[in-house]
Amino acid sequence: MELLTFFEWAETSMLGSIGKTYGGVYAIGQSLHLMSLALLGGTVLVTDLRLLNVMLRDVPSEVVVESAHKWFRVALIVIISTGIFMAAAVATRMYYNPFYWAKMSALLTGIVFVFAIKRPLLKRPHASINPIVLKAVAVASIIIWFSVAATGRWIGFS
Amino acid sequence: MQESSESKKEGMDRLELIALGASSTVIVVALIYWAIQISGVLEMLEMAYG
Repeated sequence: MELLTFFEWAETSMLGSIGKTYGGVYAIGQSLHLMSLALLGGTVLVTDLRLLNVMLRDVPSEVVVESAHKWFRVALIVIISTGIFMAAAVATRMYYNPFYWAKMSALLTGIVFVFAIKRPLLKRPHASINPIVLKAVAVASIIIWFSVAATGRWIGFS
Repeated sequence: MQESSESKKEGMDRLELIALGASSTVIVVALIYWAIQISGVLEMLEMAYG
């Protein structure tokens, strides 16, 4: 009940009102959200496909991982900022949408997975990490961010 | 390279085990979740179009 009250407040807040009233501003927010999702997806695919030895095999995986992670952080910050703005405009509808909660769960899982598991592990020399672990982490990472994107798109069709 | 062979000799350390456990859990849960979602959609399509 308290959570619903928060969502109702978010919809009537200044942020929610701007998103609801000015379609152009909402469209800009949504475009930035989708572009940053594309950037994040790109960094995830480059990193994880390199760890799976599918692409960029002539570049050391440590270099690929470090370079991509900087842009991953930028994309994540933009995704969260624009996501809050977009969700505020339709907060009550989001509260009752199961795919919104699925997306939030996948996003939270992704953030915890990256910063608590993947990053600490990949800070080590990759040659010292068991290859099975590296590949499992890469596959899990692709699945998590695929789920974030897919459930996010599903919100729009439910 | 020396570190690599040492690590392989010693097996996986704590972080590697945690990473493997978390990754396996994520993969299994995601597979179950998407299988349920896809079967739901197939069921709905069958009801709608036979």
